[in-house]
Amino acid sequence: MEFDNTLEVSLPPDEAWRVLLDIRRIAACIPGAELTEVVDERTYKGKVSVRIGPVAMSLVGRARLEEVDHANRRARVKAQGADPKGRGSTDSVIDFRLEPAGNGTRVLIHTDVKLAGSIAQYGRGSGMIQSVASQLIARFGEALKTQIAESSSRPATAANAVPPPAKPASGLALIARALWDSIVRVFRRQQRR
Amino acid sequence: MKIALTLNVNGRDHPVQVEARRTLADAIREECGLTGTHLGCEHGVCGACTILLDGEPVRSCLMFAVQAAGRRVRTVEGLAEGEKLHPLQRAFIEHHGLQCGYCTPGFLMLATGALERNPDIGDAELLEVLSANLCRCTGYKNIVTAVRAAAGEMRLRR
Amino acid sequence: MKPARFEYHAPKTVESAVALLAEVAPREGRVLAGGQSLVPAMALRLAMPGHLVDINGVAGLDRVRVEARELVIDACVRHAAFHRQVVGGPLGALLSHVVRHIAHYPIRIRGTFCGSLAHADPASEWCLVAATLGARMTARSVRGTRVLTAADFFQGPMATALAADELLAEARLPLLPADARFGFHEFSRRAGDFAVAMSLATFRIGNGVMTGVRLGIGGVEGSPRRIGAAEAMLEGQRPSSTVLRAAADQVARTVEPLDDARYAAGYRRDLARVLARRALESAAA
Repeated sequence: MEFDNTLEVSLPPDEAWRVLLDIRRIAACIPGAELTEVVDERTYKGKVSVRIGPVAMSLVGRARLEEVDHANRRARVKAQGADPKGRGSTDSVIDFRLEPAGNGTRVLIHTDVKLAGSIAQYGRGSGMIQSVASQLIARFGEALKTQIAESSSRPATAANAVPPPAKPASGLALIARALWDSIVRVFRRQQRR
Repeated sequence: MKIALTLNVNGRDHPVQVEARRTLADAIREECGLTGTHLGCEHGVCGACTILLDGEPVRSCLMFAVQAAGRRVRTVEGLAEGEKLHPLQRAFIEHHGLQCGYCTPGFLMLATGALERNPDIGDAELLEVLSANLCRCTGYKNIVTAVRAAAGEMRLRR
Repeated sequence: MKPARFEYHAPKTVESAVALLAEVAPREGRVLAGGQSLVPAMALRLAMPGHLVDINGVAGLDRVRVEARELVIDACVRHAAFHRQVVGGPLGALLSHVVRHIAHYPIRIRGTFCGSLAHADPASEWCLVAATLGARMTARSVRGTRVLTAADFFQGPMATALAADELLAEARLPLLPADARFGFHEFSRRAGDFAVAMSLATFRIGNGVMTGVRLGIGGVEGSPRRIGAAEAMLEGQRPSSTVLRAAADQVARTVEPLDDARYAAGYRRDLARVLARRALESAAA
């Protein structure tokens, strides 16, 4: 399943790029996401908890930044996650890129998700996933805006300081979101109702 | 942790001890030993598990046994009177309304509920009611014919 | 497969039900009413609530009554209650027309109106009715009672404004004016399947023009809603074929359809157009 989402950030592209690669900051903006281990500078382990109606899931996963193009502000993340209760697993490839939008930045996200297990076969209207994904991205965007506003109002912050360019790139934020997108499979039933 | 309750099935009381998660379908089959009620999909789609709860057709896989305490349950075993088959059962045989027979108890209870509630049920409404259940063998036509035929006989008996 | 273990509670009063909910909601506790949506998810172990609060035994939750020009529907009122007209006038007729489209007879025997709202499946007919007619939902918890409008209540697929420990105690539908007309159409692949798209239209006709127009779309997006842009094109206009078609086209332009492998967005958009037109035509007829 492939779909596209867009997010607007009120920072110029260079700053937005740095913020989006700041894994801890991004993880904090995703409700229910937790970074559990840094395996190496491009590989992270995390957990995302989501609920859709009566279905509450925790997906434990691993995300790896496969390609980072600082010059063009594009990156590709590959993520796998599985439900510890055996309800299925996800395999995602997320491409994201930034482009200027007025005084800010537009983040374009393309997600390609494969689902396996009961969360995949119990399917109906996977369009719901995209709808939920859009809402999550909107909420993530709100949280990010709040965070950016709060940090820019403080005198000397990470956002204002020049980040070291050698900082390990991380797209866990978007990985987590993609994991989240891919697991918010709710009531995808072949049920006749 | 098990809960003790009494299930009233086909007029007989069955004291059982079941976990809360035990579905009514499973309790009827396992604890009460009445395996005429079948499990098809176990998630409320196929209707093979249909029984009558206080006279109305209900999918017993979508109820927990504990919820049926104090209610009157009727299953396919309760249709015949001794050796004498219910008109619906005879009609299903005469009109070839079954092949493998797996969906049949569900259809019989669904039809019994519909016809007892409204013996003069019209064709369109009958089709609508019967469309609740799935059959892989017959193609449905003979099921509908059988129920129509039984309806006629049940009306005459009154 | 079989549902996972849970602790079962069967309160006899609303007070004890909300007290229980307050206690078990943090531990994955949920309300069990009709169970026709919850139990399938539990059977497949997609949902594994740790506790179920069964409200079927709570006294006085099965009434449908008229109060202050609203139809009040309690938490345990079954879909089947609407097979006959529960109130005279267009609202009763509307509800008994819509109910026939919900699932199948045995499911309607157990499933509840309020359960449908609380579950907020995009393909729920009652959710479309609630959104289009402007229902008010009463939520009860140990913190008290609050009333939510339909606009605030539906927040996306399977998402409502209800807190985890809130019970949807009742839904209130405004009675329609005595001369109101309605039209409802839905599309699904097979009888009884989840609707791919549906539309509900109501209005009155006075001096040859439509007034009080409400036009809702469901199944197409994550939540049902009224399409104000189309309503504005209809209000005060004669219900001519041209006007109705133009409004239906506006519906198609306005909706942001769900998109997946089974039903592409364009297909749902087109269904929205056709069903909106049919709903309007039925109401005008």
